[in-house]
Amino acid sequence: MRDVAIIGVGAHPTGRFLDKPLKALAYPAIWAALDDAGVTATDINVAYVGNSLGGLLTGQEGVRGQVVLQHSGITGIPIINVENACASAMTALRGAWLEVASGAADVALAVGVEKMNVGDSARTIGALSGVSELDLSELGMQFTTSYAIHPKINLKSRMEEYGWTAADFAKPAVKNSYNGSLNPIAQHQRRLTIEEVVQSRVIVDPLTLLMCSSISDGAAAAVVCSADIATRFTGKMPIKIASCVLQSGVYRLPGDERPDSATTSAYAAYEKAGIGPDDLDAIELHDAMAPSELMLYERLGLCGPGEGPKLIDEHVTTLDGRLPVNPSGGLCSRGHPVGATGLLQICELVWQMRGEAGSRQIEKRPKVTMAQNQGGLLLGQDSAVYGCTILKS
Amino acid sequence: MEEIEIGRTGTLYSHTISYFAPKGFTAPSFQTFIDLPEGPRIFSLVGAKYPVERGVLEDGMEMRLVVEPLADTPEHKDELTYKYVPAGKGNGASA
Repeated sequence: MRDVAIIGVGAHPTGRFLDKPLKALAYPAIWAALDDAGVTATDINVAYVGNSLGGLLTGQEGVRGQVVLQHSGITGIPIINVENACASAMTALRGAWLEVASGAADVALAVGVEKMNVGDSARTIGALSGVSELDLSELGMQFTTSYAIHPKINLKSRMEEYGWTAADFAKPAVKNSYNGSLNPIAQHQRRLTIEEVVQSRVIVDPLTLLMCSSISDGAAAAVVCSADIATRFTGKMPIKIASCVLQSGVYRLPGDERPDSATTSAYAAYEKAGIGPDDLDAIELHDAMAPSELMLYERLGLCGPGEGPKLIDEHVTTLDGRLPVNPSGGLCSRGHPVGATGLLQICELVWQMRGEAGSRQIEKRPKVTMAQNQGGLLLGQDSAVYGCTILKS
Repeated sequence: MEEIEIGRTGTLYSHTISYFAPKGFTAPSFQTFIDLPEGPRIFSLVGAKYPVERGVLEDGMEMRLVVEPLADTPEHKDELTYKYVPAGKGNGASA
């Protein structure tokens, strides 16, 4: 396998863009990535296009990648469509990485694009139910429930076992809203307080509105190439993909003693990159609902059981901390256009590692970073998709 | 794959109240996971006659299976499904 570097990234801001079709969201991200990489459309040998909800929401069930790219000048080459729920863009990046690592391509493009605002939020939420195992929503499960009482994230048992409070659940949202307030592409750029997060409308007890990521449109793209030719295209610092691990959920019965899938995917990524969690300088992780961030701290090996809120209280994971988490604002503030999120995470890490993150730049420029992404829910007590990508400069 | 028959009882693993309903359902509604003695942990709604309020359910309580319409809505009123209800006194529970 060859070493692979990210040489360019680009993003379309996240938010509500009712009048923009998938193409109009994708092009600014793609052109910014090509420009950043110093490549032209004809340099791209293969493209992976991640999107999750476009089939249900726009009716364009097939060949969305080819439809989106046809006016971009990136045509004729292999274009692979990727649907993997909220990890679609991460999976697209993995495809591009493998193409280059294997030697099949020298330069590859990964795109993630999502349009969730279609003027009918009931339809959008219906479509979201369709990217988890359908039996769950057909039985009447509101998918937010999975972030409140699901065996993997049983918040009430956390309250009983570790004394977590509603204020603890709000802490990641508040921390990330500060980061988002400094991010010009973020959907929500207003700083929140613990009180207003806790007191916002209850969606699924104990999750309140401001602990939940919003319906969002957006896009992101990355150009990757063989590390040994990176400097041919760009004078910017190439960012090496040290590992890119994709796993799928397993069917679990109560009492299943196997390690959590978020843990196994993270540790597989650490092992392949030759690092441990202590070596990380920054993380973008999948805080679809704010308390998920606290659970993920444990699963990624950043702290012991129940210690998540302390990492925020003690300024470990804040922007000024030893290990900033979600410097972009994360899914709740930066935004979660589901099929674009994995690459939005990568964009943020690349900008931080190059020192291009503006007013939210981490003071000690990170050298080793990780993007953690997951998606979908299965009947068998697991998410469908788990992804971890480790970057090194 | 093998089909097995399940009994009518289970244990409440976890529950919450959802104040948002997807299309075809009503809110507020209980959302639960039930541990079956046969092994699986399953998602279930709670029988319609129970008031959707805090304090009605307690994790760890014994539950009993009932069959009723999926939801009292035009979309789902004719669709029968399983739900669980507390198996305590006065609920007609049979062991």
